[in-house]
Amino acid sequence: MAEEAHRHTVARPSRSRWIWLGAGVVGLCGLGALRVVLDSAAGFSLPNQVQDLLTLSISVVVESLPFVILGILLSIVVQVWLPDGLLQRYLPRNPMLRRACISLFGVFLPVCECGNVPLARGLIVGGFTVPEAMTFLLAAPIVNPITIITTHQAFGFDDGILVARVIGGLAIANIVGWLFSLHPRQNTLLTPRFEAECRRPDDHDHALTRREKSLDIFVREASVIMPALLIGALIAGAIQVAVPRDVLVTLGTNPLWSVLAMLVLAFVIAVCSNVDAFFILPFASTFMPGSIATFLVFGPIIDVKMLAILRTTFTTRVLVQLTVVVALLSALIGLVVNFVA
Amino acid sequence: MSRTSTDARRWSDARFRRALAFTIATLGGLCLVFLGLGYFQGPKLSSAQLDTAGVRLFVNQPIAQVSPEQVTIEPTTPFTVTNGDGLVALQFKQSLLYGTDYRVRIDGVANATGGPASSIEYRFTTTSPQLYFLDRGEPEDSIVRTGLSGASREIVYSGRHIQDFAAIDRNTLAVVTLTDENTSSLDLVSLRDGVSEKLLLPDVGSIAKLDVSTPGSVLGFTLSSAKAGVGQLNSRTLYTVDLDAGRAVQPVLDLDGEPMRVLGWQFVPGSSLIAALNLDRSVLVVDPASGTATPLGQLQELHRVSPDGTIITGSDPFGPVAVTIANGEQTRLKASPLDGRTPFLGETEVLPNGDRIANAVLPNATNTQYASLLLYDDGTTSRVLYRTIDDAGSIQDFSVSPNSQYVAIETVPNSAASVSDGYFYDARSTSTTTVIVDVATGSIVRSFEGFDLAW
Repeated sequence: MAEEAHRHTVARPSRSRWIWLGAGVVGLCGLGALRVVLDSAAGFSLPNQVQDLLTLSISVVVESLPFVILGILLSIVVQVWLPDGLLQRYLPRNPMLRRACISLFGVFLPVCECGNVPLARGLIVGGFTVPEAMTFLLAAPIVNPITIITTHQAFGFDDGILVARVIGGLAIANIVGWLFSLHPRQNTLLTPRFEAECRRPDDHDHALTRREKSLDIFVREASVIMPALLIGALIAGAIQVAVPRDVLVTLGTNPLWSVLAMLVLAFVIAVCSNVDAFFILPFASTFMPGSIATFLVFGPIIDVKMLAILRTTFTTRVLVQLTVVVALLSALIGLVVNFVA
Repeated sequence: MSRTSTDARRWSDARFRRALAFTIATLGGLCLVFLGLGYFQGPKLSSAQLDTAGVRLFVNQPIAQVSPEQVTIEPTTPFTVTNGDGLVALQFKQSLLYGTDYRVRIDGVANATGGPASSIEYRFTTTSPQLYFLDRGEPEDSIVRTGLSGASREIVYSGRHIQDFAAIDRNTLAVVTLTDENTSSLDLVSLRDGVSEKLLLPDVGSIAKLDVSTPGSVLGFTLSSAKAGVGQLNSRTLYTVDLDAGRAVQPVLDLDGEPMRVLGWQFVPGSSLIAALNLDRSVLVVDPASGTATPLGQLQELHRVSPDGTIITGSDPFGPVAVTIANGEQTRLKASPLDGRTPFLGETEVLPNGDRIANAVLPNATNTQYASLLLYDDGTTSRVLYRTIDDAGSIQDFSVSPNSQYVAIETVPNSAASVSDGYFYDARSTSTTTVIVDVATGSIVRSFEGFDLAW
């Protein structure tokens, strides 16, 4: 009876999770509904900047949402449906080689950066270390097959942009993974809430069926990621409205400022890694090839929306450190491409 | 927590902080180094695209305006230059020489926003053309592929009684053959797999003056109906086939809207326009796509269209005439003296630089003998590009290469010993030889038995 009661309580996701999930869904639907209503409302229109904000935010959400859900589903597969320790069993024991292998996981996962966050969280819950999950998280959106194909379609092998993107992405992921593997207390890299979830005892879910566990994880992850996605999308939209893109484009033509301009553009534009190559393609003759490489390497790892989503998992301090190191590495890749190509 | 474990944690924390600081400092330093290197090296050439009309140079950054004075092309070739963003486009005003090493250099190239200037250089080598010619023989006639130099010779198609052919592209030939009933059939032959496709003609008869547009794949020919009696060329109706659009054989329409019957015709090089001389002796330029025909005056004969597609040459009762396609202006072509004597001009072709190549005869001092010559006339004097040994033969025809660098000359080495191959149409001497001459130097670069050379 007691066991049944326990099962009853853990089988249902907590009320707060449902509230957060509901808030996320209502927020996302509300954004879309507001845009539709405004379009059809005769005689009333919002100021242009607000309309731009709505359009840009909705576009970020529409672009990311399918991949977020796919990422959560993959996370469920890893945590619930794959045999325990299956992935770890075949990985090398040497940490560096192990991270190198993990950085290639993304080749098999057609998921962009937003969708990889729940999957990376699932990996940590499933027993991977924080640096290993970080390595996966940073490399996966760049080495995923759709990203590689779209980048190739956009640029071919011109100016080494595709090669710089793939190799650069892998290098950044492994360097960052190595750097954070030096951290003595890796549990402090995580937010207290997520760290608590990771510390949940193994037998916590044993009373649940796989289907119940899957539902639990889906609600838990969606309740965390959806509001973050909404907030990230709104911030990305707001910054794009506030920061004149013309200024960045003008700076992008200058050899001194081009890489920095592209870092900023990638940060504020928050475009999905699967389609960012087509976004930047029209600027190929305006920007230097290294700047484009920087955009394509930095954007999938760090942007406004990603920081909002990553904040569900990592502390602010870690995100600042991560942003600085990834920005410098991305800039270096771009500058080397500019010098060599 | 013990003091030892606290110290260990502090040491570990410090180790991470040091590694992080070292990484950030190293990356920052490397960024500055490569920023400086990239900035001071100036704009660089990323890639280039070359075609027959010009070269497009892609620079790795948007650059300031490039003037013609900054550009050097060796060997010297007239050009125009345009640029925008990271692109410099050089348009050649003349076709480039075959098989020649070119060097393009642009000095003082700077970023559009300023900064250090650099020089960009691009080298390329032009290809030599593949040549095709017809070699009639026993038991079959052959279409042979060869080059400008060497003695290579590859038979790409063989068949009985090949009357004429045209090379549509590197992989397709249009071949006219004579049937046993002395009518013509027209086939498209794929050089990839040898598959032949017969074109359905609108009438049974004989085909003549086969030509193909460059660029493009519009085929043209005249068809003379056999209905009024074999051998009686009573029709000469001009037809075209746009091979990209299908296989429909369409008549070219005259000013009155009826199918045009012609004494001579040719595609205008660089387009699918047609220059034609109809049976009323009117010179017309026709656009087969739109059906518009522009009259350009009257001539007795149509000779050729210049390689740059600007001038038609022909003749009226008083001699050779050049007709400017753009405005129909006619200019009398007078032969310049050769060794103090004035030759009589035959078929003449005007080159893009205004000079002329002409088939001519030159009487001897006593006007008792005539030599058959191919002349280069710069408007002041003439020089001999080719004449047969002892002036015993005759020059039948000539064909200037699209870049005006070479001329292929069909010659019968000894007219007295010439024997016809007996073909019902387009009969040729069995000794017809093609000689390819370098226009600039007059030197012979190739010679082979055969005719109808396609560049």
